[in-house]
Amino acid sequence: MDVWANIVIGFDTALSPTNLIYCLLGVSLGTFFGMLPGIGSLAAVSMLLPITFYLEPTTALVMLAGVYYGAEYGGSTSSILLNLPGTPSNAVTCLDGYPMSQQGRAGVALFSTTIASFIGGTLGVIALYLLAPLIVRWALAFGPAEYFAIMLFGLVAAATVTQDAPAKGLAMVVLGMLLGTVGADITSGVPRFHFGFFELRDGINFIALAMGLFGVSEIILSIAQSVDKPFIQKVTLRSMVPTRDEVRRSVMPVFRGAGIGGFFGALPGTGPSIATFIGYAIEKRLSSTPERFGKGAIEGIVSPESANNAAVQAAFIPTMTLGIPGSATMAVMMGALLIHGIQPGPQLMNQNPDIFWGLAASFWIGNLLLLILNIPLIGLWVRMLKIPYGVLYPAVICFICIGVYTVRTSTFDVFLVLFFGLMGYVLRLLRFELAPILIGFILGPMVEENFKRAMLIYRGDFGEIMGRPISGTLLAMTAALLVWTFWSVMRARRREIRREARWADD
Amino acid sequence: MNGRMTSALAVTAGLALAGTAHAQEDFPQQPVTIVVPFSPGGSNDIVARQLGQQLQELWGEPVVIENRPGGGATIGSAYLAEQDPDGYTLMIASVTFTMNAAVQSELPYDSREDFTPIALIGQVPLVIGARPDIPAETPQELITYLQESDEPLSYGATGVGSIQHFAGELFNQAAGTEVQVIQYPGGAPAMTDVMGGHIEYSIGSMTQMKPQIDEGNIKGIAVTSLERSDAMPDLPTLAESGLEDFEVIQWWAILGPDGMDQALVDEINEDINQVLSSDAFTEFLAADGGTPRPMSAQETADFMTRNFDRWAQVAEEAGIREE
Repeated sequence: MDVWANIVIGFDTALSPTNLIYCLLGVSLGTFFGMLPGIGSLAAVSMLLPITFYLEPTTALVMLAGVYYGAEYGGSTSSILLNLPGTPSNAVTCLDGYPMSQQGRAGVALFSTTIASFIGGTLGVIALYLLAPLIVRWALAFGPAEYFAIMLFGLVAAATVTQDAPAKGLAMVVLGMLLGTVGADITSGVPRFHFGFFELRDGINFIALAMGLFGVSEIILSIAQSVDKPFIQKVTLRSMVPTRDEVRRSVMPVFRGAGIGGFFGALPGTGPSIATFIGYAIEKRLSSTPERFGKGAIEGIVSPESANNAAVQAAFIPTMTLGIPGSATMAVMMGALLIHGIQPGPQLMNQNPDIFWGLAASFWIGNLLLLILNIPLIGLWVRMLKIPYGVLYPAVICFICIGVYTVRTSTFDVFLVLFFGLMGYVLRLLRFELAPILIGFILGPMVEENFKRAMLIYRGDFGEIMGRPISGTLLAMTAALLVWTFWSVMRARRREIRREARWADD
Repeated sequence: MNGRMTSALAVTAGLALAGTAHAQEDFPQQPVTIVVPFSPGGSNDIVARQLGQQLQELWGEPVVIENRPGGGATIGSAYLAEQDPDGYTLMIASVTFTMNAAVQSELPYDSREDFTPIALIGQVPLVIGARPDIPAETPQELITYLQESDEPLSYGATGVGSIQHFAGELFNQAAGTEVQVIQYPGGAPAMTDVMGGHIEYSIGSMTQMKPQIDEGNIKGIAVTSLERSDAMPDLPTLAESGLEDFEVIQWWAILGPDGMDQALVDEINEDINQVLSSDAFTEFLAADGGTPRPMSAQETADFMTRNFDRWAQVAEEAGIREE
């Protein structure tokens, strides 16, 4: 089909006044919910779903999609300002965003992530427009063997993204993987490590884990240290503009982030969280000055945010073209279409081109609205820092509880947040990093599940996994990465030993 | 303000209906909750919302859909079992409810005793969907291929004791094949691997399978009901293809907590059956290949008992259990 014709159909639908208003409403609500720590896109979309039953199907989805990517946009704001991730996929943005904020550069950080999000989102929409059918065919080539290989690669690539003590970082990845084993094993049905709690049979709620580790522990830590109020930041337009050096350093990370986000977004079952971690890991590896990461490196915030928003847009590709929701949020959104009697799937593009292309166009308009909405508001957000902690933190705790409760309507999960908050607090006191826990928690179970599936399909023959072109290549890359990591560690140590030897000679 | 107006209208409508339809006792007097033990967007949720909306019109009281997902419907079911048996908290249950009882050893409730079956809603067949390049068009050809192939063969299901797993193992038994089950976290990822040719087939819901089959992404082989489905009349049944009496269907029912008053049960049953017989509801189910199946409360209870017995037996024979 003619791309230009699709664009015309799409914008014709998306620019209707009703759709435009609901798009604006969706992205505004999304940004708002996303900024509130604890209420992520899944909770926001689930909460607003019933409202859309009374709308036209296209309008309903325009709004819900706006809430979804608006939440991912807004989530970085609280990561940067408060060290509290708005949504789990913004957790990695805390690592460098919060240090920037502490250095008085919150405006620059917010400005950069907004631009990065916009570019990532735009490239994701372009991929949706131009490459959807192609990407879908390619995504189908990924079976259990390929998923196993790519997840293993991701685990190895991301596991070593730690600061000073690699052993401590690895320990946290393993802890994350162990937490990921809680719940019924899908292949045998056996519930593992549930300690008699019925609620744990479905596993640990990822949002409860992320919000407990990052949100609650941060609050406990601030109270314990009774920190002074951070100094007031400048919020003039000038103070938001990154330096020329920062712009130069951001360009490639933004595009790489968008590529990584587009890749993982289009793979059903992966999603934005993985994309942000891998985006961060890759930038740190490629950087000639990796020691700046974690101390306010701009690459460390623009790449994950670009990846996040590209992944969110690309996640619509399998949902809308195959009818396969790639994430829980997507499943809710597909439900919204089904309730309106529209079957997302292969025929959607042909039978309802106005819906399909209209949505795609509205996504881009929504991204543009977010850009227009967010830049002038940065000054306002930064002023959030002026809110006394005595008011802010109880409110944040409240939002976290609401957000976590909404996802599974479970009070058990609220207590889980508290538990992980205490755990996070203790770990931070012991100077363990928390981000690797999330990496292990997301990727560990995926590696395990897909490995089991692949081994069952090939009746235990690992050679089959290595012999397949995609999985074989990925496994070879993983091996090369491992060797390279060990080699560089050894080389660094040898150099150290030599240096010490020289000192001894003197 | 809008909401208040809507409910005022609804109350008026309700009063009018109450005068004619319910001479005995006016149920409901307050909002009714239907618990959906799954996340929003699944088939249980969509059926419950349609039923809830039409009941709301009939009753003139709001019908609230409450999603309590988790544990393969066990968390929502445990919640229902603890509620007052006053008819104001109901739950949608599906065939999975009777399968869980056969497979899970530590349920926090007694599936047969702690609930009151009120009404059956409807049913929909499953569809055997095979990878597009499988060298078989008909059920017989598929069975022959599965019996004779030297390759390791696999089918996709959605967890130990899921309806897809039960259907797959029943099919293995009936066809004399030994196809390996591969478990997925949901029907969609299982279907993706069928489309990609990574596994041979999956026996999935018609709602999910139909669009993929229409588009040629998956090859439709057969339906699992005793009768052909109006939604996909070209697909033969397994029963007519030599697997005698082969039947696995998805159904939905409305349950209440144990100890409900019989008159109340019958009243709700009649109201639900009134909704089921409406054109709107029939068309709603037909869109996905389903049919309403109105029954009395007693018939519903008997139907569920037969299901409990049957799945316990199949689980025993096929060795389906958490191991």
